[in-house]
Amino acid sequence: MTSRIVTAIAVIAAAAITATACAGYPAPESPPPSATAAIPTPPGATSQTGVEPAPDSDDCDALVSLRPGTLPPPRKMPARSTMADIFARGRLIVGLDIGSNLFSFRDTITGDIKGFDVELARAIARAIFNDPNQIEFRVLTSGERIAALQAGYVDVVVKTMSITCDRRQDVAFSAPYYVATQRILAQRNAGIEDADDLAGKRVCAARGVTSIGRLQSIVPSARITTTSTWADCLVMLQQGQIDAVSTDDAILAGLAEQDPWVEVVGPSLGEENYAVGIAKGHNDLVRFVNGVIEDLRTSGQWQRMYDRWLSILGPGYPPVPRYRD
Amino acid sequence: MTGHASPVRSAVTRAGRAGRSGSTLPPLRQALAERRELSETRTQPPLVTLRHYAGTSPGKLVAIMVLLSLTLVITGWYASSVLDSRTSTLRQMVDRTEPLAESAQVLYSSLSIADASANGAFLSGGLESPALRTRYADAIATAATSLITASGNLMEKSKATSAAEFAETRRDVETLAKNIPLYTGLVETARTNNRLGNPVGSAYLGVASTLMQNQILPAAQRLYDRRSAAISDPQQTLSTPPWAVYAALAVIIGTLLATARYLARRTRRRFNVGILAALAAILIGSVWLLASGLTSVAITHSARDNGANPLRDLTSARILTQQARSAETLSFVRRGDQAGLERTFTLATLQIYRTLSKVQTNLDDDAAVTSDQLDTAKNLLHQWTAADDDARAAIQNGDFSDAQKIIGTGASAQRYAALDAELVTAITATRESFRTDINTAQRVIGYTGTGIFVITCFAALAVIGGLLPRIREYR
Repeated sequence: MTSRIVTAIAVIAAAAITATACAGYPAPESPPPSATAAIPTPPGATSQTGVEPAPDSDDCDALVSLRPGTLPPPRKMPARSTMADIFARGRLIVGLDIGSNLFSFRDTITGDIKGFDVELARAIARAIFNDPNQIEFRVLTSGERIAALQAGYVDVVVKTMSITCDRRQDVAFSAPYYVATQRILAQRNAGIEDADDLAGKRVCAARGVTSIGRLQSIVPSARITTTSTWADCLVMLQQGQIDAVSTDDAILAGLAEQDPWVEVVGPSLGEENYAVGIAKGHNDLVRFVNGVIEDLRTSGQWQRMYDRWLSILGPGYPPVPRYRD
Repeated sequence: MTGHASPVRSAVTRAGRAGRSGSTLPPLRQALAERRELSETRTQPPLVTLRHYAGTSPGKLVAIMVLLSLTLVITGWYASSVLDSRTSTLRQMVDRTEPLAESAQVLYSSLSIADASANGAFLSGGLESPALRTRYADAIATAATSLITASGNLMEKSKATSAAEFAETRRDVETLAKNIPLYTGLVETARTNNRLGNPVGSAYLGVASTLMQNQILPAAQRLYDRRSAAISDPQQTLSTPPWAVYAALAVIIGTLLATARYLARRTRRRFNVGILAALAAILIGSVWLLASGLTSVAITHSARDNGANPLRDLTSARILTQQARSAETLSFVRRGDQAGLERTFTLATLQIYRTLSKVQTNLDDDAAVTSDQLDTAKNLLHQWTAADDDARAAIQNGDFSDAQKIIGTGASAQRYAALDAELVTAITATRESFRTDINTAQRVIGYTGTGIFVITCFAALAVIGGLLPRIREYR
């Protein structure tokens, strides 16, 4: 009797142990932590860009400007002229930006604004005041340039501003003082040699510039990313967020100078003529500025300015102006 | 009741037997009747039996004794749990909730300071000063350390937070943990480029700052908001006295008085020592609870009015100060959305002024900050905006080096630093007063939880001790 009970208990215990040994109770899942980094893009960068028209400066003879007269001697501006008003005020007000390396940028060491455009602006100031320092710089973005002229907020805009027929509707231009060619900036050894290599690639440009429309007309399949400034394009290129930058060689040279691993490649995609922007209705000032540019060109000063700021682009020559009376 | 003889009583009490013995039934019949009664007892359900017994005088006394002592113990247990939960909430506030909120505040501020210093380093022209560099490095170190503290326990959800809130907190902490290293990397790239004289450094700084302003700081702010809400939520319950406990004690006192009267009528003694002792104990306990509870509530009120509220306002003023400074430096370094950044600065400084004025209006005599301190802060704010106006005028006139001096190291930078320091002093003082108040509120009711339970248990024992001899008298 007792042995039977003992056997029964033993059997039950054995069964229970076997049953619990077989049963598995899966623990709640606890996956190891993992995350993906999202490398941030510069503020204002967007790849949502519509198709823009190619720039045009031929249809309307936009490059032809007013013929300069003889320059009045400094400090002796003709009465009732725009220059006389500027002289009376005591300083020339120039619109530019501080983010276009080589043309107008803030020197990181001294904090002064320097560059090719700045030197041209100072030459205009010198022609009026006989002093290149009687000048006031007002910072504008690309989109603000025309409105600032129209509102009289600045006397002149010297800011890598290219002449187009559209812009001629709103403001007057001096004769071109610099001819830039649109080219491509890409990483070395990235296999991008000319515009054809940009098919399907991500290409960066600053918003509101004429380079976008021209590139789209040449390589429709290029995916355009626009940024607020050119430096942002270099940031994106260095971080691998875009494949190339395309705009005027002068601006690209300014970017290339900051990174030995990028280079300007390919033949010219088109030309841009930089000119001084002036509000409409100030023909005397247009003629005066053209006189200053003519003077820089003939005196060899233009060449010295080019050598100082833009020699990285190779030899350069001043554009030959075309005038009308 | 006595007319209907209970079988239990006849079986148990002497009084019952005495009553029976006086009956006129012959012995045999009586024996038979008793046997029948006993068999009836066996067959009757126990509830009925109990009800019968409860009807008798000793039954009533037993019922009173059991009910009274049970009520006393349960009330004691209830009061003790209510008070203990208050005590533990208060202790938690000092030990955990408030330090969490403070670390979240420090996290936000130091991140902001890091960003402002990184931007300021660029403003100083060329190389950043060692002081600015140290300020940046210290701010990042402080931010990283406070992130650990401010994260709290992310593995376990506390009872007070909802699942959604918990998930959001987790997400925000992850955003911070992921992006702060990214931010420092971008700042170092910016710095290297600046050192090499590459203007692209400013662009990198812009990317870093945008990351900070658009992702890191909002996450830090959300974290702070939740951590600081955790302070004010329990205060709502803590600043009302424990009325339910008082009511329960009042009921107990009433019941004890009623029992005392009942006993005085039913027994030959005017007073029952046990009941009196219980009454005395409960009265003492109630007075103790009332005094300590109300004191604690009053102190919690003071903690809220002189601590938590100004602390919240001062902290938000400090956060706004960082936002204004970031907008100011950024608008100078990155020449993008000038108008938007200027608006941010103007709105932020306006709001700082309003917040400081609000604190000043609500200022109590016991407040940790003085009106003079707030006047100093407002004055500094005024001077700061004036300096900012000067810098903006300089920018408009193209005089960058002047504007750079004003914002980078000059008047604007100094007034900002002074205002920040003033706010930190005010926050520290207010915080100390808040913590002291909460700690005092906790200490005042610290032992009442255990105390009231001991007292009610003693009272229950006293009731039992007082009633048992009376019940025995019926044997």
